[in-house]
Amino acid sequence: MREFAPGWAAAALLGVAAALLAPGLLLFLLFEGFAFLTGPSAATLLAREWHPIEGVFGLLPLVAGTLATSLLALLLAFPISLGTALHARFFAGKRVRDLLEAVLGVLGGMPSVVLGLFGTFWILPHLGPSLGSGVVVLALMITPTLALLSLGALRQVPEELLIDGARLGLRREQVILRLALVRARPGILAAAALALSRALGEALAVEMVCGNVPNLPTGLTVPVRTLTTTLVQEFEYARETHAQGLHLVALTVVLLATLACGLGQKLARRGGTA
Amino acid sequence: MRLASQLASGILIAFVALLTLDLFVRGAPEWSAGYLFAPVREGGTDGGIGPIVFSTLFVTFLATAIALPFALGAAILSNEILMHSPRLAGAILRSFETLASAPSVALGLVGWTLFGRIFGLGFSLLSGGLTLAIMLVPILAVAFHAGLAAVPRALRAQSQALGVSRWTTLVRLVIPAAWPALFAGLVLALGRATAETAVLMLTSGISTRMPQDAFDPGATLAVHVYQLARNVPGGEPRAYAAACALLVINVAVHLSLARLRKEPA
Repeated sequence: MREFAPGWAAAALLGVAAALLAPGLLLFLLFEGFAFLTGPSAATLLAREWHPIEGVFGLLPLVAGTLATSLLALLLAFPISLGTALHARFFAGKRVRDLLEAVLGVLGGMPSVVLGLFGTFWILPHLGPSLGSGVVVLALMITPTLALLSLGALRQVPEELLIDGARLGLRREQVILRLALVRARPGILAAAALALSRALGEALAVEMVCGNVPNLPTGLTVPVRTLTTTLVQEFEYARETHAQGLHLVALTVVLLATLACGLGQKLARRGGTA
Repeated sequence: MRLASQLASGILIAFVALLTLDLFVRGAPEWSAGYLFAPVREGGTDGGIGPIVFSTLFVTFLATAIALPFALGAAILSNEILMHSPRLAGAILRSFETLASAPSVALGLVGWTLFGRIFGLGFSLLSGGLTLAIMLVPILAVAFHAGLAAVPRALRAQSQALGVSRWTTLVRLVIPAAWPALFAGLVLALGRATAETAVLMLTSGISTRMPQDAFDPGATLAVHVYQLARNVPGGEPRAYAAACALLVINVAVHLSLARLRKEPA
């Protein structure tokens, strides 16, 4: 039978177009952001305030808000997630293990806006619209990613290694701490980086609880604003310089999230070949 | 250590149980007969979510229909055409990883500026579908690539040894063999699409009226939940009802697609 050349050509063309979406996105943001950098407000980028109406576009409070909410969320979610993964891998029976995986599946399947709604009712009354509330909601959001990927990394540790350890007289806890966790470390760190990447990029769930005042995050009860929530709040009425500034904000958050994700993938590849 | 890990699992289970129960206990009583189909009244504090459900389905299927050929093309390109240049294929896959890791709100902003302002579509279902399609392409392409790559090379070689062309082998043999994996990718993408909020709030808008055509704006369910919780006074209980519906629809899509898969022609 003859080759169907138009089919291959169409596939190649569509494929190339799809592969160019990512560079296209970055170029688009760069192009708009560049217009800002060559404009009159560029010097205000280093200011400590974000006040677009007065033409002050200091990125510091937004970047600090994004990093503070995301890193603290990671810090909060990490022990819960790793503990759950360890429990599912080493301590739980089959029934509990299945339950834990189902629970992580349910939480992972929750749209982030539902988690924001939950935060509005259960966390806002205690912590107020603040950094702390944003942290709790984000921690809930990244826990399934973190726990399931950590569990995957723990499962990849060869059983023989653990059996050998036990034969050499190591106690169960030592086997887990000294052998399993050490061997799974790159995979667990990769999970943390990927979870961080998701937290950095989340917009609406955080916007619902974080207070949205561009303060520096000096305490858990301080209302803060992140890069992503700024986009949500200002995109509609932003014009000219302000709109260009928002594209620079978007570029910043894309770079931060991509960096974290790339780091995670690098670690994951190392974990896979270790 | 055992105790610590038990504690962690316990906290997690308690939180998720609270979350799910809370959702149904608060959300379900707000449902009335025909809630899913009735028009929205009073900004959402009364009536149903008919137009919202319509907009959600419309935008989701539009985006999937646009994204599918691109993703399939990309998978064929990276897996079949570039079979012997793994470096180039790897670069393509990395571009998808980058796109998939880009925060959706940034994508929403680009969609708003490009489709909404430059192309003049404003807030519209079409603009939402186009932007959402950009988000779905990498998800679908990576899943399709993995699906095609999992089909043994020997199958292709045997088919070609019998004189069957590479294209026919691909269409008649490889893609059917990879079908379950392709399908799983599709379900994953649909799940992500219905849960997406940021992209669609910035592109298809927050209108709760029934859209007349693709150039009209229309809030999707996730956007509606957000609006009720955040911007509609007294909307919180109704936000729970809509969130409940969102979860139910999500599950229904998963189940009906899973059934479709079981009865291929």
